[in-house]
Amino acid sequence: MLPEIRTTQLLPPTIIDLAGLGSLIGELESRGYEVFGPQVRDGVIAHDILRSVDDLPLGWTDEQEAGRYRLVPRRDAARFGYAVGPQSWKEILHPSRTKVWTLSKTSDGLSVSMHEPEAPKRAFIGVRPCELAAIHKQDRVLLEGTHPDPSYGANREHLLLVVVNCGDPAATCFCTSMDTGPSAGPGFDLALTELVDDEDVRYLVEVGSEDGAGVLAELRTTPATVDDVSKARRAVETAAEGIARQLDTVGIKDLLYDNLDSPIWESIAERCLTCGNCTLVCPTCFCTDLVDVTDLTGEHSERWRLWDSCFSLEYSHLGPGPHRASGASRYRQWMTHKLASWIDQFDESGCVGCGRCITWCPVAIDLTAEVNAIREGAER
Amino acid sequence: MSSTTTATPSPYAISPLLVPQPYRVLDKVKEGEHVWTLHIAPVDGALPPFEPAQVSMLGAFGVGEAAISISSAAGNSDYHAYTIRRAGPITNALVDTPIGGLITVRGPFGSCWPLDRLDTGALAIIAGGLGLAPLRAVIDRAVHRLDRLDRLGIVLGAKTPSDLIYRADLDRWRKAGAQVTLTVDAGDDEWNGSVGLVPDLLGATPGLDMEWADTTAFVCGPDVMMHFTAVKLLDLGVPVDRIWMTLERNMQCGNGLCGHCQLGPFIVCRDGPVVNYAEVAPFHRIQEL
Repeated sequence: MLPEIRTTQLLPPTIIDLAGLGSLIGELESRGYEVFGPQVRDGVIAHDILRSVDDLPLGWTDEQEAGRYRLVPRRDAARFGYAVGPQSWKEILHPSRTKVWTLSKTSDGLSVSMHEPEAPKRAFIGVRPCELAAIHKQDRVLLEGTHPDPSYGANREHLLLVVVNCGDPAATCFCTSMDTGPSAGPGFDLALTELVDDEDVRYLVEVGSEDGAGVLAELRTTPATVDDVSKARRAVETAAEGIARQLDTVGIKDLLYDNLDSPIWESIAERCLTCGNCTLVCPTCFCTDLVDVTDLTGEHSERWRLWDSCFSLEYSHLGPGPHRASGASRYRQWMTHKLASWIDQFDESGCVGCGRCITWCPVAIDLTAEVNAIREGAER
Repeated sequence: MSSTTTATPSPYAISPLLVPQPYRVLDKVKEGEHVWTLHIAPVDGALPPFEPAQVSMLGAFGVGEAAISISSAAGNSDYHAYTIRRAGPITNALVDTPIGGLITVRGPFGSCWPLDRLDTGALAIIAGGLGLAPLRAVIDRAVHRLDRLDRLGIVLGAKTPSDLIYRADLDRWRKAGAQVTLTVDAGDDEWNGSVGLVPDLLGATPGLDMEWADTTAFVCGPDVMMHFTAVKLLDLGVPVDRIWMTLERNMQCGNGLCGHCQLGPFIVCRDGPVVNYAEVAPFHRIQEL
């Protein structure tokens, strides 16, 4: 993907300073949004309610490698000078635990009360381009099928997305291979590019929606100069050049389908712990389990929907036992779904190249390396 | 933190297939040692229509749901029949529901057998064990208009004679003109039928022989049985796109949202359970996929 700053048709790009970013938070709050953004929590950059620019991860970056994540100080005043933390936005949009219904025994039968989700107003600041792509992939799975998921639909309804383009990708990132970054594709309300000049930060703002334009109109902006735009372009170009990890996606569906019985899966299984960390941190993994819980009286039974993982034995449960008993078959399911069968099921790849599955794998399995190994095996 | 956060209802209506409907158990028929057929009807409202091979999620209060295919005879407007094997807490709870008791149902959903194949050529229905359940309604349809088919052959295999389900139907179908062949893995003193595997009876005598090049096959049973049956049918000359099978995977939501019932590119509750062998063969042959 050629990195570029997309000047939208709605408005030419403008500039806000740090105070303007603070005003953005205030303006969103005054419009009734609950504002979330990145901040340092428990040694990682996580998403939480953002009260002011002081909450942002000032002067931090993340060093990532397969099986490794460390926050380290930066020498400048960047607030968004990191790649991605372990949490993806799905923790808020498609939470790990959601109520589905309550069944109650009555004198003459059974009453059914469906949980009717409310659509909150939320704004996310600091969504990465790869994460924006991930949200759109979950939209496709959970909203664009025959039976949309009402809980996800509620969380998505009033969501306002403020993307911050990537200036400092991690070693595990490969968004350029998946065509999702380091600058944002369509589907944002506002997109910022952080322009860092030692102690000074400013933000080039692009508008992607009427909602975004409305919010921006309330902020103190200055027109972006030619120099600002070229600086912003250079920032994402530099980011793109800094992405060393590659996943060759040419013919990847057929490559993986042709290698379903390859010995590679056994060799990965020798390392894989089937812990499911990759599925938890993956911003597109959407699988859920349905669990019934009764209260002490036995008169009420609640159904909850919980995140599930294709790495668990119970995931493939059938009458005689788990269908995917071996670790090799479970890793194969995860990787081939993400990179191959997702294309058949939803007309696009299930991977955005954020690299979380690589970073947070406790035994440092790298799916880009494993795909390369399959490709080399196929070419031999 | 914002104190003015507002919320509105979800813009997405809850799909009726996500809402459990209370059903009453009207009758229970014992089919085998661990296998029962439940006759059920909605507490409120009419019985929904279904197509042969469609599936519903049957729920036991406080325990959970299991995907079971509808096995009612075609045209029955009094109840739906579901044949269930005791295989764990949910199926045990469903089978143990007393007559008059309540269960919940979400469905029916999924694809059905290609019914246009009941009007032309020969039809081979090949089932293993409980695999006959999703075929029962389609056999009834075929039997009712047997004049349109050159031939209707049914092969049913089971572990033992006592595992053969729908005995009365088998007799009825035979009398109506279908060729019914039964086989078991292990017979008993009273068994005088075939002993052996289903694929070995195809193209064999005794067994089922037909004009294979002009035959459509509907197959349902355990994956291994379906695999070797399909391989044998191809050997006999049945065109690959005339072989259809029903897939069983761990269905949970029935709406294509939970991810559990995948087989390669297929989301079985959405794209199945009935699939064409030409499409599923590259994936079905892979163990543990």
